[in-house]
Amino acid sequence: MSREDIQKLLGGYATHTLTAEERRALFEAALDDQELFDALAKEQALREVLQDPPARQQVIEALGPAREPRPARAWHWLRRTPALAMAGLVVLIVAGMVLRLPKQARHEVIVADAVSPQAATPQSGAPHPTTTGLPENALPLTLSRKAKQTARLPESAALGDQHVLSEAANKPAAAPVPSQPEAVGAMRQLDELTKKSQAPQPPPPAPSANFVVGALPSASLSRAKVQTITGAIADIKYTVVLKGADGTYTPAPPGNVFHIGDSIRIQAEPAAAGRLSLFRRGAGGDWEAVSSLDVENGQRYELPSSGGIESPTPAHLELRLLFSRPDQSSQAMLPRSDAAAQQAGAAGYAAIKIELEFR
Amino acid sequence: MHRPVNSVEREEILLKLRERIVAFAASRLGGDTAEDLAQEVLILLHEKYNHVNQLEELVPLSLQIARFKIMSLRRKSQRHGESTQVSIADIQLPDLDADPATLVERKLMLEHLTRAVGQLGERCRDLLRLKLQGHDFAEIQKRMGAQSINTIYTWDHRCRKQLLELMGGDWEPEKR
Repeated sequence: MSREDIQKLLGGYATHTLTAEERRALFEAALDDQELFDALAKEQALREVLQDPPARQQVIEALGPAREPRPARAWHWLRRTPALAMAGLVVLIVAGMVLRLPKQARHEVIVADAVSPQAATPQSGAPHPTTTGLPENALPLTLSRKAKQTARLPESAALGDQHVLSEAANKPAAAPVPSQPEAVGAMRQLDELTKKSQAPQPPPPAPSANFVVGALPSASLSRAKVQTITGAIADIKYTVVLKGADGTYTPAPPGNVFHIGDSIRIQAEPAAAGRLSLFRRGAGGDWEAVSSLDVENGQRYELPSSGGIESPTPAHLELRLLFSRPDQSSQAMLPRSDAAAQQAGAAGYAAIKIELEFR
Repeated sequence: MHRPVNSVEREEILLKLRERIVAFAASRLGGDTAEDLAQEVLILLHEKYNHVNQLEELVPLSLQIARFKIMSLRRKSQRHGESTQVSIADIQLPDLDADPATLVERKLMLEHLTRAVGQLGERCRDLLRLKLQGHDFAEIQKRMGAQSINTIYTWDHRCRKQLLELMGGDWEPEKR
Protein backbone atom coordinates (compact mmCIF):
# COMPACT_ATOMS: atom_id res chain seq x y z
CA MET A 1 0.00 0.00 0.00
CA SER A 2 1.23 3.47 -0.77
CA ARG A 3 1.45 6.15 1.90
CA GLU A 4 -1.56 7.83 0.33
CA ASP A 5 -3.57 4.61 0.61
CA ILE A 6 -2.52 4.17 4.21
CA GLN A 7 -3.67 7.70 5.04
CA LYS A 8 -7.12 6.78 3.78
CA LEU A 9 -7.39 4.10 6.43
CA LEU A 10 -6.97 6.62 9.20
CA GLY A 11 -10.67 7.38 9.16
CA GLY A 12 -11.48 3.82 10.11
CA TYR A 13 -9.33 3.70 13.24
CA ALA A 14 -11.63 5.43 15.71
CA THR A 15 -14.77 3.68 14.48
CA HIS A 16 -13.24 0.18 14.33
CA THR A 17 -14.06 0.05 10.63
CA LEU A 18 -10.81 -1.53 9.46
CA THR A 19 -10.30 -5.14 8.53
CA ALA A 20 -7.46 -7.06 10.17
CA GLU A 21 -5.23 -6.53 7.13
CA GLU A 22 -6.00 -2.83 6.97
CA ARG A 23 -5.32 -2.44 10.67
CA ARG A 24 -1.98 -4.17 10.39
CA ALA A 25 -0.98 -2.09 7.37
CA LEU A 26 -1.94 1.12 9.18
CA PHE A 27 -0.07 0.27 12.37
CA GLU A 28 3.05 -0.95 10.58
CA ALA A 29 3.16 2.29 8.66
CA ALA A 30 2.60 4.33 11.81
CA LEU A 31 5.61 2.76 13.50
CA ASP A 32 7.84 4.25 10.81
CA ASP A 33 5.95 7.46 10.12
CA GLN A 34 5.77 10.00 12.92
CA GLU A 35 3.16 12.11 11.16
CA LEU A 36 0.86 9.13 10.77
CA PHE A 37 1.48 8.06 14.36
CA ASP A 38 0.58 11.54 15.59
CA ALA A 39 -2.59 11.46 13.53
CA LEU A 40 -3.50 8.11 15.07
CA ALA A 41 -2.80 9.46 18.53
CA LYS A 42 -5.14 12.36 17.89
CA GLU A 43 -7.89 9.91 16.92
CA GLN A 44 -7.45 8.02 20.17
CA ALA A 45 -9.86 10.18 22.17
CA LEU A 46 -12.65 9.59 19.67
CA ARG A 47 -11.85 5.90 19.54
CA GLU A 48 -12.15 5.57 23.29
CA VAL A 49 -15.55 7.21 23.33
CA LEU A 50 -16.84 5.09 20.47
CA GLN A 51 -15.46 1.97 22.09
CA ASP A 52 -18.22 2.12 24.65
CA PRO A 53 -21.28 0.36 23.15
CA PRO A 54 -23.92 2.61 24.81
CA ALA A 55 -22.03 5.71 23.67
CA ARG A 56 -21.78 4.29 20.18
CA GLN A 57 -25.51 3.62 20.16
CA GLN A 58 -26.16 7.15 21.36
CA VAL A 59 -24.23 8.56 18.42
CA ILE A 60 -26.07 6.28 16.00
CA GLU A 61 -29.37 7.54 17.38
CA ALA A 62 -28.20 11.13 17.06
CA LEU A 63 -27.55 10.46 13.39
CA GLY A 64 -31.27 9.91 12.89
CA PRO A 65 -33.06 7.09 11.08
CA ALA A 66 -31.20 5.37 8.28
CA ARG A 67 -32.10 6.31 4.74
CA GLU A 68 -32.69 3.60 2.20
CA PRO A 69 -30.31 3.37 -0.73
CA ARG A 70 -31.16 5.65 -3.64
CA PRO A 71 -32.60 2.98 -6.01
CA ALA A 72 -34.78 1.63 -3.25
CA ARG A 73 -35.99 5.10 -2.36
CA ALA A 74 -36.95 5.74 -5.97
CA TRP A 75 -38.72 2.43 -6.26
CA HIS A 76 -40.71 2.94 -3.08
CA TRP A 77 -41.64 6.40 -4.15
CA LEU A 78 -43.03 5.11 -7.39
CA ARG A 79 -44.83 2.24 -5.74
CA ARG A 80 -46.42 4.30 -3.04
CA THR A 81 -47.57 7.09 -5.25
CA PRO A 82 -48.41 5.69 -8.68
CA ALA A 83 -50.98 8.39 -9.25
CA LEU A 84 -48.44 11.03 -8.42
CA ALA A 85 -45.95 9.35 -10.69
CA MET A 86 -48.46 9.27 -13.49
CA ALA A 87 -49.36 12.87 -12.85
CA GLY A 88 -45.72 13.74 -12.99
CA LEU A 89 -45.41 11.93 -16.23
CA VAL A 90 -48.33 13.80 -17.71
CA VAL A 91 -46.89 17.08 -16.48
CA LEU A 92 -43.63 16.24 -18.16
CA ILE A 93 -45.34 15.45 -21.45
CA VAL A 94 -47.48 18.55 -21.35
CA ALA A 95 -44.53 20.69 -20.34
CA GLY A 96 -42.57 19.29 -23.22
CA MET A 97 -45.34 20.10 -25.67
CA VAL A 98 -45.77 23.59 -24.32
CA LEU A 99 -42.09 24.22 -24.58
CA ARG A 100 -42.06 22.92 -28.09
CA LEU A 101 -44.75 25.27 -29.42
CA PRO A 102 -42.99 28.61 -28.97
CA LYS A 103 -39.86 27.13 -30.44
CA GLN A 104 -41.72 26.10 -33.54
CA ALA A 105 -43.31 29.48 -33.84
CA ARG A 106 -39.98 31.19 -33.53
CA HIS A 107 -38.51 28.94 -36.15
CA GLU A 108 -41.42 29.65 -38.42
CA VAL A 109 -40.89 33.36 -38.14
CA ILE A 110 -37.22 33.12 -38.89
CA VAL A 111 -37.75 30.86 -41.84
CA ALA A 112 -40.50 33.00 -43.20
CA ASP A 113 -38.37 36.10 -42.95
CA ALA A 114 -35.53 34.43 -44.67
CA VAL A 115 -37.49 32.80 -47.49
CA SER A 116 -39.88 35.52 -48.59
CA PRO A 117 -39.15 38.88 -47.06
CA GLN A 118 -40.67 40.68 -50.00
CA ALA A 119 -43.91 38.81 -49.76
CA ALA A 120 -44.07 39.67 -46.17
CA THR A 121 -43.73 43.41 -46.62
CA PRO A 122 -43.45 45.59 -49.70
CA GLN A 123 -41.09 48.02 -47.99
CA SER A 124 -37.45 47.09 -47.84
CA GLY A 125 -34.55 48.51 -45.98
CA ALA A 126 -34.38 49.37 -42.33
CA PRO A 127 -37.45 48.63 -40.31
CA HIS A 128 -39.64 51.60 -39.66
CA PRO A 129 -41.49 52.23 -36.51
CA THR A 130 -45.09 51.31 -36.72
CA THR A 131 -48.00 52.84 -34.97
CA THR A 132 -47.42 50.45 -32.13
CA GLY A 133 -43.88 51.59 -31.80
CA LEU A 134 -42.44 48.22 -32.77
CA PRO A 135 -40.50 47.27 -35.89
CA GLU A 136 -42.61 45.85 -38.65
CA ASN A 137 -40.94 42.48 -38.65
CA ALA A 138 -41.95 42.13 -35.04
CA LEU A 139 -45.52 41.56 -36.15
CA PRO A 140 -45.30 38.64 -38.52
CA LEU A 141 -48.36 36.80 -37.29
CA THR A 142 -50.18 36.50 -40.60
CA LEU A 143 -46.94 36.05 -42.44
CA SER A 144 -45.79 33.24 -40.22
CA ARG A 145 -49.07 31.45 -40.72
CA LYS A 146 -48.56 31.65 -44.45
CA ALA A 147 -45.01 30.48 -44.14
CA LYS A 148 -46.11 27.59 -42.00
CA GLN A 149 -47.89 26.17 -45.00
CA THR A 150 -44.85 26.25 -47.25
CA ALA A 151 -41.76 26.13 -45.12
CA ARG A 152 -40.31 22.79 -44.02
CA LEU A 153 -39.45 23.04 -40.40
CA PRO A 154 -36.84 20.85 -38.78
CA GLU A 155 -37.98 18.17 -36.34
CA SER A 156 -38.13 19.51 -32.86
CA ALA A 157 -35.76 17.85 -30.45
CA ALA A 158 -38.15 18.54 -27.63
CA LEU A 159 -40.48 15.74 -28.63
CA GLY A 160 -37.64 13.28 -28.81
CA ASP A 161 -36.44 14.20 -25.33
CA GLN A 162 -39.89 13.91 -23.99
CA HIS A 163 -40.16 10.45 -25.45
CA VAL A 164 -36.98 9.38 -23.73
CA LEU A 165 -38.21 10.77 -20.47
CA SER A 166 -41.41 8.84 -20.78
CA GLU A 167 -39.53 5.65 -21.36
CA ALA A 168 -37.35 6.28 -18.37
CA ALA A 169 -40.32 6.94 -16.16
CA ASN A 170 -42.01 3.72 -17.20
CA LYS A 171 -38.90 1.63 -16.77
CA PRO A 172 -39.04 -0.48 -13.60
CA ALA A 173 -36.64 0.75 -10.96
CA ALA A 174 -33.85 -1.46 -9.65
CA ALA A 175 -34.85 -4.11 -7.16
CA PRO A 176 -34.98 -2.74 -3.64
CA VAL A 177 -31.94 -3.34 -1.52
CA PRO A 178 -32.67 -5.56 1.44
CA SER A 179 -32.92 -3.81 4.77
CA GLN A 180 -29.76 -3.35 6.78
CA PRO A 181 -28.86 -6.11 9.17
CA GLU A 182 -28.57 -5.57 12.83
CA ALA A 183 -25.50 -3.60 13.83
CA VAL A 184 -22.44 -5.73 13.70
CA GLY A 185 -20.68 -6.21 17.03
CA ALA A 186 -18.73 -3.01 17.27
CA MET A 187 -15.95 -3.82 19.64
CA ARG A 188 -13.03 -5.71 18.26
CA GLN A 189 -9.41 -6.02 19.24
CA LEU A 190 -9.06 -3.57 22.07
CA ASP A 191 -12.19 -4.73 23.84
CA GLU A 192 -10.81 -8.21 24.10
CA LEU A 193 -7.53 -6.77 25.17
CA THR A 194 -9.07 -4.69 27.90
CA LYS A 195 -10.99 -7.69 29.16
CA LYS A 196 -7.79 -9.69 29.17
CA SER A 197 -5.97 -7.04 31.16
CA GLN A 198 -8.85 -6.65 33.60
CA ALA A 199 -9.09 -10.38 34.17
CA PRO A 200 -6.89 -11.87 36.85
CA GLN A 201 -3.44 -12.11 35.39
CA PRO A 202 -1.74 -15.47 35.15
CA PRO A 203 1.57 -15.80 36.93
CA PRO A 204 4.33 -14.08 34.98
CA PRO A 205 5.75 -16.32 32.28
CA ALA A 206 9.19 -17.75 32.64
CA PRO A 207 11.82 -15.66 30.90
CA SER A 208 12.06 -16.54 27.25
CA ALA A 209 15.08 -18.28 25.81
CA ASN A 210 16.93 -15.17 24.78
CA PHE A 211 16.69 -13.64 28.22
CA VAL A 212 19.33 -14.16 30.85
CA VAL A 213 18.34 -14.29 34.45
CA GLY A 214 21.13 -13.09 36.68
CA ALA A 215 21.54 -12.13 40.32
CA LEU A 216 23.50 -9.99 42.66
CA PRO A 217 26.28 -11.57 44.71
CA SER A 218 24.76 -14.36 46.70
CA ALA A 219 25.77 -12.79 49.98
CA SER A 220 23.18 -10.07 49.62
CA LEU A 221 20.39 -12.42 48.57
CA SER A 222 19.54 -13.30 52.11
CA ARG A 223 17.92 -9.93 52.53
CA ALA A 224 17.74 -8.41 49.07
CA LYS A 225 16.52 -10.60 46.30
CA VAL A 226 17.70 -9.12 43.07
CA GLN A 227 16.75 -10.61 39.77
CA THR A 228 18.17 -9.25 36.58
CA ILE A 229 16.36 -9.67 33.30
CA THR A 230 18.24 -8.60 30.25
CA GLY A 231 17.50 -9.12 26.60
CA ALA A 232 20.08 -8.97 23.87
CA ILE A 233 21.02 -5.59 25.24
CA ALA A 234 24.31 -5.27 27.01
CA ASP A 235 24.13 -5.72 30.77
CA ILE A 236 23.76 -2.81 33.06
CA LYS A 237 25.92 -3.02 36.12
CA TYR A 238 23.95 -2.13 39.21
CA THR A 239 24.31 -2.30 42.94
CA VAL A 240 22.03 -1.71 45.88
CA VAL A 241 23.59 1.02 48.01
CA LEU A 242 22.68 1.84 51.58
CA LYS A 243 22.86 5.17 53.36
CA GLY A 244 25.38 5.15 56.15
CA ALA A 245 25.55 7.12 59.34
CA ASP A 246 27.63 9.79 57.61
CA GLY A 247 24.90 10.31 55.00
CA THR A 248 26.80 8.75 52.11
CA TYR A 249 25.57 5.79 50.10
CA THR A 250 27.82 2.77 49.93
CA PRO A 251 27.23 -0.74 48.54
CA ALA A 252 25.22 -2.80 50.95
CA PRO A 253 27.60 -5.31 52.53
CA PRO A 254 27.00 -9.01 51.94
CA GLY A 255 24.42 -10.33 54.33
CA ASN A 256 23.14 -6.90 55.20
CA VAL A 257 19.69 -6.77 56.73
CA PHE A 258 17.45 -3.92 55.62
CA HIS A 259 15.51 -2.37 58.41
CA ILE A 260 12.69 0.06 58.69
CA GLY A 261 14.21 3.49 58.28
CA ASP A 262 17.01 2.33 55.99
CA SER A 263 17.47 4.48 52.91
CA ILE A 264 18.42 2.68 49.74
CA ARG A 265 19.41 3.69 46.24
CA ILE A 266 20.20 1.78 43.09
CA GLN A 267 23.59 2.54 41.62
CA ALA A 268 23.72 1.76 37.91
CA GLU A 269 26.31 1.86 35.18
CA PRO A 270 24.76 1.41 31.74
CA ALA A 271 26.72 0.07 28.79
CA ALA A 272 25.20 2.55 26.36
CA ALA A 273 23.64 5.97 26.29
CA GLY A 274 19.92 6.09 26.88
CA ARG A 275 17.21 6.73 29.43
CA LEU A 276 17.29 5.06 32.82
CA SER A 277 14.19 4.96 35.02
CA LEU A 278 13.45 3.43 38.39
CA PHE A 279 9.92 2.29 39.24
CA ARG A 280 8.47 1.02 42.47
CA ARG A 281 5.30 -1.04 42.78
CA GLY A 282 2.79 0.75 44.97
CA ALA A 283 0.39 -0.71 47.47
CA GLY A 284 -2.37 -0.82 44.86
CA GLY A 285 -0.18 -2.71 42.42
CA ASP A 286 0.50 0.27 40.16
CA TRP A 287 4.01 1.14 39.12
CA GLU A 288 5.15 4.48 40.49
CA ALA A 289 7.98 6.34 38.84
CA VAL A 290 10.71 7.03 41.37
CA SER A 291 13.37 8.66 39.24
CA SER A 292 14.46 8.99 35.65
CA LEU A 293 17.68 10.16 34.01
CA ASP A 294 19.40 10.53 30.67
CA VAL A 295 22.55 8.44 30.96
CA GLU A 296 25.83 8.03 29.10
CA ASN A 297 27.84 4.94 28.38
CA GLY A 298 30.13 3.87 31.22
CA GLN A 299 29.06 6.55 33.70
CA ARG A 300 27.78 5.67 37.15
CA TYR A 301 24.42 6.97 38.33
CA GLU A 302 22.30 6.68 41.46
CA LEU A 303 18.54 6.50 41.45
CA PRO A 304 16.88 8.33 42.99
CA SER A 305 19.45 11.06 42.74
CA SER A 306 18.07 12.76 45.84
CA GLY A 307 16.50 11.07 48.83
CA GLY A 308 16.23 7.32 48.93
CA ILE A 309 13.89 4.37 48.90
CA GLU A 310 12.54 3.65 52.33
CA SER A 311 9.86 1.55 53.91
CA PRO A 312 8.03 2.65 57.06
CA THR A 313 6.85 -0.89 57.74
CA PRO A 314 8.18 -4.39 57.14
CA ALA A 315 7.56 -5.00 53.48
CA HIS A 316 8.54 -6.74 50.32
CA LEU A 317 9.50 -4.02 47.84
CA GLU A 318 9.40 -4.58 44.10
CA LEU A 319 11.52 -2.31 41.95
CA ARG A 320 12.14 -2.14 38.20
CA LEU A 321 15.15 -0.50 36.64
CA LEU A 322 14.25 0.28 33.04
CA PHE A 323 16.89 1.22 30.52
CA SER A 324 15.95 2.32 27.01
CA ARG A 325 18.38 3.23 24.35
CA PRO A 326 17.67 5.47 21.34
CA ASP A 327 16.34 3.89 18.18
CA GLN A 328 18.39 2.37 15.38
CA SER A 329 18.71 5.61 13.49
CA SER A 330 20.50 7.31 16.35
CA GLN A 331 22.66 4.22 16.80
CA ALA A 332 24.17 4.96 13.41
CA MET A 333 25.71 8.06 14.96
CA LEU A 334 27.61 6.12 17.61
CA PRO A 335 31.38 5.80 17.15
CA ARG A 336 32.36 2.44 15.68
CA SER A 337 34.90 1.90 18.42
CA ASP A 338 32.12 1.94 20.99
CA ALA A 339 31.64 -1.82 20.96
CA ALA A 340 29.37 -1.85 23.96
CA ALA A 341 27.09 0.69 22.39
CA GLN A 342 27.00 -1.30 19.18
CA GLN A 343 26.05 -4.36 21.15
CA ALA A 344 23.42 -2.42 23.04
CA GLY A 345 21.95 -1.45 19.72
CA ALA A 346 20.82 -5.01 19.18
CA ALA A 347 17.79 -4.42 21.37
CA GLY A 348 16.02 -1.38 22.64
CA TYR A 349 15.52 -1.78 26.32
CA ALA A 350 16.19 -3.83 29.41
CA ALA A 351 14.03 -4.18 32.48
CA ILE A 352 15.76 -5.25 35.65
CA LYS A 353 13.70 -6.77 38.41
CA ILE A 354 14.82 -5.98 41.94
CA GLU A 355 13.09 -7.27 45.06
CA LEU A 356 13.99 -6.10 48.56
CA GLU A 357 12.85 -7.34 51.92
CA PHE A 358 12.53 -4.86 54.76
CA ARG A 359 12.19 -6.28 58.24
CA MET B 1 -5.50 -15.19 12.59
CA HIS B 2 -2.63 -13.41 14.32
CA ARG B 3 0.90 -14.12 13.28
CA PRO B 4 3.03 -15.41 16.16
CA VAL B 5 5.37 -12.74 17.44
CA ASN B 6 8.57 -13.70 19.21
CA SER B 7 10.12 -11.72 22.02
CA VAL B 8 12.70 -10.05 19.78
CA GLU B 9 10.01 -8.82 17.41
CA ARG B 10 8.00 -7.60 20.36
CA GLU B 11 10.99 -5.68 21.66
CA GLU B 12 11.50 -4.11 18.27
CA ILE B 13 7.87 -3.04 18.18
CA LEU B 14 8.09 -1.61 21.70
CA LEU B 15 11.23 0.28 20.87
CA LYS B 16 9.68 1.88 17.82
CA LEU B 17 6.56 2.68 19.78
CA ARG B 18 8.65 4.31 22.45
CA GLU B 19 10.34 6.57 19.96
CA ARG B 20 7.06 7.54 18.35
CA ILE B 21 5.55 8.29 21.75
CA VAL B 22 8.54 10.41 22.78
CA ALA B 23 8.19 12.51 19.64
CA PHE B 24 4.43 12.82 19.96
CA ALA B 25 4.56 13.70 23.65
CA ALA B 26 7.44 16.14 23.12
CA SER B 27 5.24 18.19 20.83
CA ARG B 28 2.64 18.49 23.59
CA LEU B 29 4.59 18.41 26.82
CA GLY B 30 8.31 18.89 27.02
CA GLY B 31 11.46 16.96 26.24
CA ASP B 32 12.12 15.39 29.63
CA THR B 33 8.47 14.84 30.41
CA ALA B 34 8.03 13.16 27.04
CA GLU B 35 10.93 10.83 27.75
CA ASP B 36 9.51 9.95 31.14
CA LEU B 37 6.08 9.38 29.71
CA ALA B 38 7.47 7.00 27.10
CA GLN B 39 9.37 5.11 29.82
CA GLU B 40 6.17 4.75 31.79
CA VAL B 41 4.32 3.40 28.79
CA LEU B 42 7.13 0.97 28.23
CA ILE B 43 7.25 -0.32 31.81
CA LEU B 44 3.51 -0.85 31.75
CA LEU B 45 3.65 -2.76 28.48
CA HIS B 46 6.52 -4.78 29.89
CA GLU B 47 5.02 -5.54 33.28
CA LYS B 48 1.27 -5.42 33.12
CA TYR B 49 0.65 -6.19 29.46
CA ASN B 50 3.40 -8.69 28.92
CA HIS B 51 0.85 -11.04 27.37
CA VAL B 52 0.08 -8.54 24.62
CA ASN B 53 2.30 -9.39 21.67
CA GLN B 54 0.52 -8.44 18.48
CA LEU B 55 1.21 -5.21 16.71
CA GLU B 56 -2.53 -4.76 16.17
CA GLU B 57 -2.98 -4.73 19.93
CA LEU B 58 0.20 -3.03 21.03
CA VAL B 59 -0.28 0.15 19.01
CA PRO B 60 -3.79 1.03 20.28
CA LEU B 61 -2.85 -0.02 23.79
CA SER B 62 0.24 2.17 23.86
CA LEU B 63 -1.74 5.08 22.43
CA GLN B 64 -4.35 4.58 25.10
CA ILE B 65 -1.79 4.54 27.89
CA ALA B 66 0.05 7.55 26.47
CA ARG B 67 -3.15 9.53 26.16
CA PHE B 68 -4.17 8.58 29.67
CA LYS B 69 -0.84 9.78 30.97
CA ILE B 70 -0.97 13.03 29.02
CA MET B 71 -4.46 13.73 30.35
CA SER B 72 -3.31 13.01 33.90
CA LEU B 73 -0.37 15.35 33.52
CA ARG B 74 -2.57 18.05 32.11
CA ARG B 75 -5.10 17.74 34.90
CA LYS B 76 -2.37 17.73 37.49
CA SER B 77 -0.69 20.82 36.11
CA GLN B 78 -4.04 22.60 35.89
CA ARG B 79 -4.78 21.80 39.51
CA HIS B 80 -1.37 23.07 40.55
CA GLY B 81 -1.54 26.06 38.28
CA GLU B 82 1.80 25.06 36.82
CA SER B 83 3.14 24.57 33.38
CA THR B 84 3.12 21.09 31.87
CA GLN B 85 6.50 20.35 33.42
CA VAL B 86 5.58 17.96 36.18
CA SER B 87 8.09 15.99 38.19
CA ILE B 88 8.00 12.33 37.40
CA ALA B 89 7.96 11.62 41.12
CA ASP B 90 4.43 13.01 41.17
CA ILE B 91 3.17 10.80 38.41
CA GLN B 92 1.26 7.62 39.02
CA LEU B 93 1.12 5.00 36.32
CA PRO B 94 -2.36 4.49 34.98
CA ASP B 95 -4.39 1.44 35.62
CA LEU B 96 -6.50 2.36 32.57
CA ASP B 97 -9.62 1.89 34.63
CA ALA B 98 -11.78 4.88 34.02
CA ASP B 99 -11.45 7.30 36.88
CA PRO B 100 -14.16 9.90 37.61
CA ALA B 101 -12.33 12.68 35.76
CA THR B 102 -11.95 10.54 32.67
CA LEU B 103 -15.59 9.55 32.78
CA VAL B 104 -16.64 13.19 32.97
CA GLU B 105 -14.39 14.08 30.04
CA ARG B 106 -15.78 11.26 27.95
CA LYS B 107 -19.34 12.24 28.78
CA LEU B 108 -18.63 15.81 27.76
CA MET B 109 -17.06 14.70 24.53
CA LEU B 110 -19.98 12.42 23.77
CA GLU B 111 -22.37 15.33 24.23
CA HIS B 112 -20.38 17.45 21.80
CA LEU B 113 -20.20 14.58 19.38
CA THR B 114 -23.91 13.84 19.38
CA ARG B 115 -24.67 17.51 18.81
CA ALA B 116 -22.19 17.73 15.96
CA VAL B 117 -23.24 14.59 14.07
CA GLY B 118 -26.80 15.90 13.90
CA GLN B 119 -25.54 18.81 11.82
CA LEU B 120 -23.83 16.66 9.22
CA GLY B 121 -25.27 16.26 5.74
CA GLU B 122 -27.30 13.19 4.83
CA ARG B 123 -24.47 11.43 3.06
CA CYS B 124 -22.08 11.93 5.95
CA ARG B 125 -24.68 10.71 8.41
CA ASP B 126 -25.27 7.59 6.29
CA LEU B 127 -21.55 6.94 6.07
CA LEU B 128 -20.90 7.43 9.76
CA ARG B 129 -23.88 5.30 10.71
CA LEU B 130 -22.59 2.41 8.60
CA LYS B 131 -19.14 2.78 10.13
CA LEU B 132 -20.54 2.73 13.63
CA GLN B 133 -22.65 -0.29 12.79
CA GLY B 134 -19.42 -2.15 12.17
CA HIS B 135 -19.28 -2.28 8.38
CA ASP B 136 -15.89 -2.06 6.73
CA PHE B 137 -15.17 0.28 3.84
CA ALA B 138 -15.83 -2.37 1.17
CA GLU B 139 -19.26 -3.12 2.62
CA ILE B 140 -20.02 0.57 2.91
CA GLN B 141 -19.14 1.02 -0.74
CA LYS B 142 -21.73 -1.58 -1.74
CA ARG B 143 -24.39 -0.24 0.56
CA MET B 144 -23.95 3.34 -0.53
CA GLY B 145 -23.74 2.36 -4.20
CA ALA B 146 -20.40 4.11 -4.74
CA GLN B 147 -18.53 3.21 -7.91
CA SER B 148 -15.19 2.71 -6.19
CA ILE B 149 -13.86 2.38 -2.69
CA ASN B 150 -11.79 5.49 -3.26
CA THR B 151 -15.04 7.42 -3.49
CA ILE B 152 -15.89 6.18 0.00
CA TYR B 153 -12.46 7.15 1.30
CA THR B 154 -12.91 10.63 -0.16
CA TRP B 155 -16.37 11.01 1.36
CA ASP B 156 -15.05 9.74 4.66
CA HIS B 157 -12.19 12.23 4.64
CA ARG B 158 -14.54 15.13 3.93
CA CYS B 159 -17.09 14.01 6.47
CA ARG B 160 -14.51 13.62 9.22
CA LYS B 161 -13.13 17.02 8.40
CA GLN B 162 -16.61 18.52 8.59
CA LEU B 163 -17.33 16.75 11.86
CA LEU B 164 -14.07 17.93 13.35
CA GLU B 165 -14.87 21.50 12.36
CA LEU B 166 -18.30 21.19 13.95
CA MET B 167 -16.57 20.05 17.12
CA GLY B 168 -14.32 23.07 17.17
CA GLY B 169 -11.21 21.56 15.60
CA ASP B 170 -10.50 18.90 18.21
CA TRP B 171 -12.29 15.79 19.36
CA GLU B 172 -11.61 16.65 22.97
CA PRO B 173 -13.55 19.66 24.23
CA GLU B 174 -11.18 20.11 27.17
CA LYS B 175 -8.38 21.34 24.94
CA ARG B 176 -10.41 24.18 23.53
